[in-house]
Amino acid sequence: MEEPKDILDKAIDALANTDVPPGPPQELTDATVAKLAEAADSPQDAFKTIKFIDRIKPTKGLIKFAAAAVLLITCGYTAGRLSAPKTPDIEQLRSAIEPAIRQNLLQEMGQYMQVGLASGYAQLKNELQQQYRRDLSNFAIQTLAASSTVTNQRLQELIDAINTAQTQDRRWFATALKQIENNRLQDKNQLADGLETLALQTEDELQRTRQDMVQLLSYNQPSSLNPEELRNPSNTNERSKK
Amino acid sequence: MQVIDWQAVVNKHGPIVWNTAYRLLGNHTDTADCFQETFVCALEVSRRQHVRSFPALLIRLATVRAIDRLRQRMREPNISTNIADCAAVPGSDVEPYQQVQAQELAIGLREALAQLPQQEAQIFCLRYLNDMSYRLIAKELGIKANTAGVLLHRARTKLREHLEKAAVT
Repeated sequence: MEEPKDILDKAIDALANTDVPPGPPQELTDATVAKLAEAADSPQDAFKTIKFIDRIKPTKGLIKFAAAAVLLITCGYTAGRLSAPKTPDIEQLRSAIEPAIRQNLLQEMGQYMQVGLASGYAQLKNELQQQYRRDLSNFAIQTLAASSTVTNQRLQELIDAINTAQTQDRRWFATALKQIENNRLQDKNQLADGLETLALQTEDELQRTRQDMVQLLSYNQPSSLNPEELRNPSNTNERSKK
Repeated sequence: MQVIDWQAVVNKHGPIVWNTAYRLLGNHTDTADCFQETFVCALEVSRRQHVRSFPALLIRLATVRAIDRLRQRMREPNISTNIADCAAVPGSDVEPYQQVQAQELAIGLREALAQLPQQEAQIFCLRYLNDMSYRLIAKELGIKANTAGVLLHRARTKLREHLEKAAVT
């Protein structure tokens, strides 16, 4: 183990490693226990009394010091009282000082009031400005809210009207379309009937014309032409049929 | 009120008190007186407050009593400090000059401790002779750990100066 270099460490080691005889002896232990039992049986006030006396002992010097301090203070007060100048004439002093004090007081009061009024005016102005701004702000908010509500209402009404008009237009348009379709179908049927009739008549006419043409082309001048047959062409047809 | 079996306390913690007092005082008679005073003082303390740890309390009280007795020795130089103690026989593993040197250092340290302020001496003994931590010392003395450290540093400085002065003279 390294030996400590510092003299204090050496001394601490020496004191800490002092050979202590085994103990405590049994007699000492018994005596201590007996003393403790005796002390435990005695009233606690004895300890308090002893302790109080012990506490007073160190204050003896303090009492002396306090007495010296009181003596010094008394001497100083007496010397001060004796060396103090005589009391001046109060009335004369008051009459000399009063106007100046009054004037100073008035000036100070005036200044104080002026400062107070100025600060009050500024504060009032500030408060009014703030109140005015708050009112304006509230009014603007309320106006905007009301305007927005009315606008929304009017827009809703307009939308409803437009929707109604559009629905009505659609209904009319659908009716017109239906009517047009009916007319178209009717016209178509009529046209078809007319065309069919025309076709039939045309076919008949064409047939007749063709027969006439055939008849005309195949016509031979009879030797003995009957004047009656010349007058009535229908007979010619009947003959050709035959 | 705390009920304490003082006989058991004396039997259990007596050796700690004995060792603490003997290290500081170095003789049998003073140690015996200090032993009794320590336990009587512990009885008074236990009447005033609840005792949480008897070892710490007894070590502190024994240290205080022993330092008081050292101071008393310093104030009354007629009292012989070198009372013959038959138990202090040097061991065989230590050279005689080393034993004498250690005894001189121990005596010098005891004298220096007697000249220190009470709290500094108390903290020094609790720290270096009883190996108590700063926290435990502070708790036992009712001060802050930093304060205990500062006081211990001051005590070390003063003790070193005293020992060096004594070594020169």
